[in-house]
Amino acid sequence: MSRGTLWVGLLLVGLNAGVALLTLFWLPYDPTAMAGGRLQPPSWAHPFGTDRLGQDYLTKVMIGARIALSVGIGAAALGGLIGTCLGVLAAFARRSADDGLAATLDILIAFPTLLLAMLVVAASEGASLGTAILAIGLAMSAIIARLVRILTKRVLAQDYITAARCSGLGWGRIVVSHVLPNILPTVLVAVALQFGLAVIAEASLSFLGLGTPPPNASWGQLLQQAQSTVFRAPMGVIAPGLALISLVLGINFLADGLRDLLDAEVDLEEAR
Amino acid sequence: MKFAPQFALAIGAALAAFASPALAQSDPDAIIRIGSLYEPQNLDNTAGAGQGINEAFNDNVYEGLFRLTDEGDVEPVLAADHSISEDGLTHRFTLQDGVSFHSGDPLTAEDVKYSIERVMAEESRSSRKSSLSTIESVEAPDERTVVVTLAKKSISLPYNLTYVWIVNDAAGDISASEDGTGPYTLVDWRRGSALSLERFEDYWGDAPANGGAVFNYFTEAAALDNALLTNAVDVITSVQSPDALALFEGTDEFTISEGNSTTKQLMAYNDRVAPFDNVTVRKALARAVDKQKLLEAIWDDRGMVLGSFVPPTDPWYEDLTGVDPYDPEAAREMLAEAGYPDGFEFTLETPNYDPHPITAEFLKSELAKVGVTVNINIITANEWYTKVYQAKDFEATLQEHVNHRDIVFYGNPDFYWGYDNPEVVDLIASAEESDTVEEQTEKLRQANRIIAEEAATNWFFLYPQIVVSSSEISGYPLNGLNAQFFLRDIEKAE
Repeated sequence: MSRGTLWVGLLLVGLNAGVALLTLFWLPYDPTAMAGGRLQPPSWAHPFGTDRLGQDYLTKVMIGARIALSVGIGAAALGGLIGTCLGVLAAFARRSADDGLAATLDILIAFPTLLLAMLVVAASEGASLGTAILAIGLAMSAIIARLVRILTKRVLAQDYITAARCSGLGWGRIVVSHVLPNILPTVLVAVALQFGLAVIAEASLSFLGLGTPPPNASWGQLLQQAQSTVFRAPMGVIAPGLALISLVLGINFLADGLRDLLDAEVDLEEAR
Repeated sequence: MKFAPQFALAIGAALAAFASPALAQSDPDAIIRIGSLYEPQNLDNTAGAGQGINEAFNDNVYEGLFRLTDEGDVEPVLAADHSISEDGLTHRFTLQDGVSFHSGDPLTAEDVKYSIERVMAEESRSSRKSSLSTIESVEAPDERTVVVTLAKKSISLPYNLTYVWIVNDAAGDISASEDGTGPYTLVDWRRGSALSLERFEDYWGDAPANGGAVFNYFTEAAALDNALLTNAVDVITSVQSPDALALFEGTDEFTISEGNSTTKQLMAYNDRVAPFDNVTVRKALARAVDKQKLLEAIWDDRGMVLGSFVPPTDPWYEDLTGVDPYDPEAAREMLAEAGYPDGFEFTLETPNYDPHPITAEFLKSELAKVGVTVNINIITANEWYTKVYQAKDFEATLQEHVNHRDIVFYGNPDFYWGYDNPEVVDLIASAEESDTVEEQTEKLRQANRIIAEEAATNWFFLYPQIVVSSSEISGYPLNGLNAQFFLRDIEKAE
């Protein structure tokens, strides 16, 4: 099953990534052009129909893929980086500092990602792509940090680390040459899983109107806008909804497949 | 979802089998079932009860000395006679005869004095408190006469009194019970679900056309629509989007009525800061926006385009859409004339709820055509209040203004949009001190024309007020001014 899910995941993510890349060079319509009538049903000219302003909906959903992936990759990278640094630091720190950090992380994790993200947006001047990445990345970093701390501690208990220490190796060298190579596969899988959650978190933030500002519509925002027109133009909900499902499902399959491939020991529930 | 209209038809057909034979006759004891999104927090309009209490109680359970009709006129109710002294500072009201409260107590001048002072009291949280601040004292020289003395002339006193319920002075706390003089009494209020009213048999005026009403409260527009579709209610008081109407169209089982609301969608500039301190720039931007197209995007073919801040239900309304008609060519020329041949850039503070984001997107695309770049900044309602309304730290913002007769905002240079024209300030202040309603109307009409000529704000459109009902009922108010929903004339087929 593992290879199968990996391929399906690759296909779905690749499809979304391909669309996202394509939007950088070509779009069916100018995203701000009011090219058609209000809430047109799907047609050859507008495969996903049009929105209330008469803008092409396919164009909007395509741009949404770019935003979802930008925020997902940005937040995963940020969360992975901060989380790994914090986790390793905690594992190496003195007992009291470690306990303090661990407690802080537990408190952060207890906060729902969305709430934390809303706090970040509220603290900054208005919502943007940057605040969304920062907000979701920060929320993610706590989860990664906790995982990295445990993994690092486990590595540090090994005999070869004691040997390395005895031979006078500094802790920087130990991290780079012994700890990171050992924990990397597991961390990668965890980050990949978080990537999927980041995409959902971005959609939720945008649904609340706290994500990327228009006209760079993200899927969450499209879903929100289409809410009031769901009976007249169901495509407004179906298209971004399916797109969101395809990307998140793809990422999860990919992470699953990756886990089996790398033989990484991430408890799925733990990583969440 | 294609199934919905057919579904509605099926129910309609089932209903018609029972209802249609007697359509012509109305049932004098019918209970009207109303679906609403606005459950009151409590039953006292001076205790932060919200608009829902106006909807359920104004003119139904409580009456005022005057009433604001659905057309926006002020007419006497409990005041049989009203005279004003030479200097305009003393208003004498004679009360209607034979009026008694639901508890059986007769209406006296002391009750009126008590009721006015209740709204003006320190602990009162009535939104109309400040408009009554010109009142210096209220006296009750005899049982039938009330004398109100003002600090300065106020032609709007009768209008402001339409917001004052006349309550029995022996009633005490009315946050969970009532004692008014209206045609209906409160039977039952089940918090979170429904409020029932029943005809008051000893009512002093004409008996209502029905036996009572039940307000059923919903928290979600979709649930509200569904209640009407499934015949759980007879009428819903506000439809939030034109697209929900698809459910009720194309069948004669439902009546869709459209009135004028007082909700105005607009882009307010900060008139203090460049380039919006320049009248020519503001006029150019007014001409650059196809308001009709924006209205169609949001409300389909309903609502109306505005040329100024005043809606048709204010007495000083005038159609001013011709002052700055849609003309992007002229807009470009005016921008060049104002010193911005290459346009400029500004940040638009956009509240994060519908219809503001879509309006912002539309504006961005419209203004780009005349070379003006809009940076959309999404903010929450809270941020809007602190940043825009209180700190006035903004260039332009989107907002909807819901109040009736609110042109007075342009007479206050410290208001968030900072429009400051001494002539308008003077017209608005002196209008209040007019001797006649005609004089007041004329002055406010002039003020309205000036703010339109100077494009003080970019007014887009007036929301429609849409009421949908089962076709078995008729006689309900269409405009819903001040959220009022008069019950007394509603008829239901037998």
